[in-house]
Amino acid sequence: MIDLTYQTGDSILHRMNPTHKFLGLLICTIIILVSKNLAGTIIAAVLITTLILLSKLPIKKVFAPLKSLFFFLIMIFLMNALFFNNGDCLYSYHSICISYKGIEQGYNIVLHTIAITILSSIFIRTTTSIEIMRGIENTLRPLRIFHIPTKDISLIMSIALQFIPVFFNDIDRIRKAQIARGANFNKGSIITRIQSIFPLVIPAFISAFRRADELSTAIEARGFQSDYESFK
Amino acid sequence: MQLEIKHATVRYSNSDKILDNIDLNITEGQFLGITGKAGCGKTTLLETIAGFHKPESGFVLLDGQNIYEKRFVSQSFRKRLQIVFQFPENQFFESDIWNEIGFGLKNISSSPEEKERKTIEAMLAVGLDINEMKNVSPFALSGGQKRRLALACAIVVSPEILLLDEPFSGLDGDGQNQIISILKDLHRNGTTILMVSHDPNVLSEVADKIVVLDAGKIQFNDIPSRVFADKYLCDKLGIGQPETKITADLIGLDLDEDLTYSNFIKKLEKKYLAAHD
Amino acid sequence: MINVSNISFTYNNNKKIIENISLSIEPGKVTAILGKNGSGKSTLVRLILALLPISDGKIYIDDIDINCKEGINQIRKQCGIVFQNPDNHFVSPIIEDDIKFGLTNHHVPETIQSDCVKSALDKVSLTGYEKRNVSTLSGGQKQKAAAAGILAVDNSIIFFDEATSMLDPNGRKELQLCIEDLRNQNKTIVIISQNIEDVLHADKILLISDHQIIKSGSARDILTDYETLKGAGIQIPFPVQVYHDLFQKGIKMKNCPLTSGELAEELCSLK
Repeated sequence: MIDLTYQTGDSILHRMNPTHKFLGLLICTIIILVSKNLAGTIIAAVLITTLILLSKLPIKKVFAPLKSLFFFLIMIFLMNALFFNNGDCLYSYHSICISYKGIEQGYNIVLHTIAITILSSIFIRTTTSIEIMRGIENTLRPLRIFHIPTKDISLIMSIALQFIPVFFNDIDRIRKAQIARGANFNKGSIITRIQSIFPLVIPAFISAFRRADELSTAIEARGFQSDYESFK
Repeated sequence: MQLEIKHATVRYSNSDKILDNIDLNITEGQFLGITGKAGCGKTTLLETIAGFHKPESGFVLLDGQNIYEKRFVSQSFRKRLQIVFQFPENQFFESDIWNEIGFGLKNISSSPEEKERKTIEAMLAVGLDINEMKNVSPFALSGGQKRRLALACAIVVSPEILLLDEPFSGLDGDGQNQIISILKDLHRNGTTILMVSHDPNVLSEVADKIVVLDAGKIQFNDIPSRVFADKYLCDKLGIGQPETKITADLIGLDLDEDLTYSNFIKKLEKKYLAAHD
Repeated sequence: MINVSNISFTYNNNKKIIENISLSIEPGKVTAILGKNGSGKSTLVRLILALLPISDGKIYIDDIDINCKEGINQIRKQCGIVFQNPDNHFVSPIIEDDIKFGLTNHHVPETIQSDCVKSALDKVSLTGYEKRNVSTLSGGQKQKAAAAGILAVDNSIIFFDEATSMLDPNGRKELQLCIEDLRNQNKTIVIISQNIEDVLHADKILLISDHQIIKSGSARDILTDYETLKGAGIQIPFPVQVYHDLFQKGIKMKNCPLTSGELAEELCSLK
C-alpha cells in the first residue's frame, strides 16, 4: 500500500545510499540531455543497459511506463518532423514542412524522454519512498545558502508520503458510499462520465482540505518555524 | 424478502481471511445488531452484504439470487438495499440539502412529482424541517443534522433493507437519541435493519438479535439477553455488557430476557415498591 | 499555571462562540472541559494554545500574557495537544521521524534525539515502535504516538481535544490508561470532551453550555447534577439516570451514585 512502485531486491542499486543515488540520477539526466543524435543514442543505451544490469530488475517492469507514453511520443515526433520550420524544408505543403532539422529535433526529444523515463523508472523501483525523500532532502540542503526553503520542501514531501494511504482510504470510502447511492462511474458517454466524477472529486477535495487544515494547526502547535518565515 | 449469506469467505488480496465461512439468515423486518472487537470483520461483513466484496467462496443471496452473479451489482439491488457508512457526512458534495438527498433518486425512474414527494418524506422522517432546510448547504449543518441528512439520503429510495456502520460515532447524547428514534420508526414500519455497533447499551435497546463476530467467524447469533449473559465470555469477545445487565447482576435482579432500560426500571420499581408495601 | 480571563470569541460572520469565559488550569491536576458539540470548547482550547488570535480578554501562562512573542514561546514550550483525528497529526510516515520533527522544532540537539524518542515511546507503552509506519497503527496507538511526540519535547501541560471520539472502545481504554500514566508522571492534563466516560476521573470539570461556563466543580458535583447536565445537552451517566427515574417513581436512594458499583450498593441498601 505504501510503496506501490518499489521492487524489493538487494542489488547494488537497491543498497546504494539514496543521496548518492539521487545525485547520480541528476547527473545521468544531465548527461542524457546534452547528448544528441547518434552519440546520444549510444550513450543513453550504454547508461541504461548498465543500470538495468546493476539493478537486477526485470526488463518488462523497467520499460512499463513507456507503454502509456507511446501515443504522446509519436505525437511529439510528428509535430517536430512535420511542422518545424526554419526555412530549410525538403518538402512543404501549407504549414507542413519536413526538414532534417525537424526530424533530428523530434528524434532527440523522443530519445531524451524515453531515456529519462527509464532512468526514473529504475530509480523509483530500487528506492523506497522514504529513501527518495531523504535523497532529495540531502541533495537540496546546500541550497539553503541561497535562502531556498529546503526544510519546508522536505516537510511537504514527508507529509505527502504520510498521507498517501490516508487519501487512498478516504477516496475508497467515498467511492463506495456514492456507488451505494446509485452512482455509476463506468457507464455512459464522455459527458456522463465527467459529470459522474463530481460526487467523487468534491468530497475527496473537501476531505483533503479539512485534513490539511487540521494538520497545519497541529504543526503550529508543535512549534514549527517555517523556512519561509525565517528567510523572509 | 429473504437475505442469506451462505458459507461466505472473504479475503483481501494476499492477506488472511477477513470473513471465514459465514452463514447468516436475515428475516424480513428484523433489527439485527452486529458487534465484535476491532478487526473482527464487522465492517467487511456489512460491505459484503452490500455488494462491495465478492466472496472468494460462498454466496450472498437476495430472494434466492446471487447478488454477485454479474460483473456489477445491479441497480435494482441498490434500490432494495442501502448502506450508510461510518462518518457518512464525508460523502456530501451538493450545494443544498434538496439536491443531496435527490442524488439517490437519479437512477429511479419516477416522475419529478414522485421524486419531490419522496425527498420531502425523507426529510420529514429524519426531522429536517423542509421549509427552513431546503436550500441550506449540507456543510452548514451541525454534526447531528449532518448524520440525519446522510440517513435521509439512504432512506429516500425506500429501501427494504438498511445497513448501518457505527451510526452513532462522534455524536453527542442528543444526536444519538435522535438517530435511535429514527431507526426505531423505520423498524416499526417494516424496514429490515442491520447495524454494526460496539455499544452494548444501544444494541440491547433496539436489536431483535445480535451477531457477534470474532476473527471473521460468527460466535453468537441470538437475542441480546443470551448474547450478553456471560461476563467472562463478553470480555473475551471484547464486546462488553449493557449497563442494565451489569447492574442487575450486581444486585441479583432477574430481567426476564429483556435488557432494555424501561424494563430495567420496571423491574426495579416492582422490587422496591413492593418491598415498601 | 494557565489563567484565562474574560475571553470572548466571535467569528467574522458574527457567530458568537464563547462569551466572557474565565478559568484556571492548575498544575499537576486533570482538568476537564465538558460540553456538547458546538458548545465552544474546542475554540476555547485553541485560544489558550495561541492557535487563534485573541481580541477580547486575556490569557496568561505563568503570569505572562500569551498575546506576545514571549507568551507564545512559553505556550509552545509547555503545552502540547492531541487532536481528535488520529491521522491528521503526523508529518512523516515513520514514527521516529515524526517525533524528531517536534524535537527539531524545540531545538533539541540531533545527537540526543534518538534517545528522547525511545524514552517518550516507553512512556506511552509503545516501546520498539520507532521504525513503524504510522498507517499500520490502530487508532488508539496513533493517539498514543501523538502523545509520545508531546512527551518527547517535555511539554508539561497536555491537552486532549476529543481525542477518544474517533476511537473504538479498545482504543478509548488504551488512551485512558495512557492518560492515567501521564497523570502519575505529574503532567498537567486538560481533557476536552462531550463524553462523560472521559471525564469521570478528572479533578475538576468545567461544564460549558451556551457559550459560557455554567458550572465548575468536582467530577461528582457535575456528573450527578441531572438538571444541569440535561440542560447542557450532555448524556446523563446511567447510574444518575436510574437515580433520577426511580426518584420520580417515589423510590429514593440515599446518595446519587456515579458508578455501577455505587448504584448497586445504593439499590441494595434500599431494602
